Amino acid sequence: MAGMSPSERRLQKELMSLVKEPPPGVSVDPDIAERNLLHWIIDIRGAAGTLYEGERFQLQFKFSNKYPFDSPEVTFVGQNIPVHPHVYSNGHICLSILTDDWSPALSVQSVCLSIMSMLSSCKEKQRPPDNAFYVKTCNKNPKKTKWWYHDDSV
Amino acid sequence: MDNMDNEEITMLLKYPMMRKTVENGVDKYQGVIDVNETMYKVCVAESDKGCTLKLPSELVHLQDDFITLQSTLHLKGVVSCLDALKNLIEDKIPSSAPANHCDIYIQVLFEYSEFTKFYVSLKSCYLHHDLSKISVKLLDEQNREHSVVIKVNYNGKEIFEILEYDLPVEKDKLKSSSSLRVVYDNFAGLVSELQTYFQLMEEFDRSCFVIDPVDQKYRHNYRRIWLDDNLSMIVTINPFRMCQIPEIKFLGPDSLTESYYSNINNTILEWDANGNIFIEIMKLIGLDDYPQKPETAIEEDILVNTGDCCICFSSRLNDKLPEVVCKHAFCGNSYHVECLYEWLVSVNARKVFSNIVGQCLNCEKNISCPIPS
Repeated sequence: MAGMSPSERRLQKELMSLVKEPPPGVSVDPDIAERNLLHWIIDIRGAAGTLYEGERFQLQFKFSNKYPFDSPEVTFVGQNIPVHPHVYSNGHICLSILTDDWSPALSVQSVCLSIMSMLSSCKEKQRPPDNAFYVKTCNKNPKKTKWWYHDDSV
Repeated sequence: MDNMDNEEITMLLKYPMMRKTVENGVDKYQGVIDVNETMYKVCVAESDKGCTLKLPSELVHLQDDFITLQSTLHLKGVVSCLDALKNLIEDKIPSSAPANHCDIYIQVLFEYSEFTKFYVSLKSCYLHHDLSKISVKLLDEQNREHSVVIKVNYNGKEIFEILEYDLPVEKDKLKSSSSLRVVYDNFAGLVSELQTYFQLMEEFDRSCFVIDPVDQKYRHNYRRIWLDDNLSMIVTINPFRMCQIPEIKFLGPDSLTESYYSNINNTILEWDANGNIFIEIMKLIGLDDYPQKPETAIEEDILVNTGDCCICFSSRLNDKLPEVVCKHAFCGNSYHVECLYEWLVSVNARKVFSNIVGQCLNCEKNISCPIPS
């Protein structure tokens, strides 16, 4: 790992750990990530016994070269965007650890687990109430959105 | 041909390759001058107001300097102008001719042969073929090998100076001299003065699980010693004041370090400056033995091992281990100073004197980080 910046070294280490010992329901395509360490696609499966059982989603992680001081940009991508009160139909996720509450001690793995648990605790599949308006007006980068985190239950 | 005036004769004596012509009633001097064995083509026009100089392209960058010089020295006449120009060129353009170092070569060879005759006990001694440096290896009283590289300084008065060495000594403690023996004696003197220091450091390396430095050299006057999974201590030795109590710092949560610090407070008066320093340090911190390296191998697959920095997820950053450890019980997370500082600055943490104080990323309690220089 010589010649890598601390940021690249950490991403490389996180990638290796995620490939070797992924948490249940999470898998990463190492080829895509290794081609560009700053852009990962992660597959997650809805956990058994939840509203999303059997469904598959794709998460896109984009890192800046200031990672981990800067939070990653995380969105759902692909055909299937989960219908969830905190997930907009364009894939943006309203989750405080992705912006205001980000800490460098968090990792790709812990973000995936937070999103899994956010999905698992959902009681009713529905879009956020302001979905139509938000999707029309928002910035492409969810980190530019000033989020209001009001609902801690799901 | 006109009669030569005095000025012209003086010029020709000094600058024989310049010729005078008269153009439209103005005296002009054209030709080449020789400075440091390089020829420069110049042209000087002399009028009542003074001389104007036309410089060749390789000297154009000196034009402004020359004009300043001309106005400050009130130069009159072609000779003083050319003198000034010559000085300026000598000043600004380094001579390409190789300097004559024969005297120094002779001195180096003489000193070197005297040196090798005088010190028969050297392990090895080698003069580089271009006479630029001398590598010496010597054995101390305990057969430890010490290497030193002495550079030949061709531009100074003291031609021998120490270039590379491995001692816990600032460079200004090492003498430079025109005598190789003086330089060497000074170095060998330091080596013999440091005998107890070497002995103590070897004792640490033998008896403790030293986690830093990994590749211990004589110049490393500190040891970071493993005491427990999230507890270590850094002992910094003053090599020239061995009987003094060394600086000891514990890294780990308060709950673990407190008992060590209170041990030190209780035993500090019993410090015996004449005793065996290694044993005195053990008494001071209240240990009978240092804990040994744990058998369980560190797993490479775990994302963050105990003792790794929780920001960059690695143990060494620019060769340094994490030095800030959260002091709160049950936390004990470690950080590199650089990593934690960068994060605390980005969240606008408070700066207090030479520290920055914010929250531990793990337990969210206060943590203080020295501001890196």
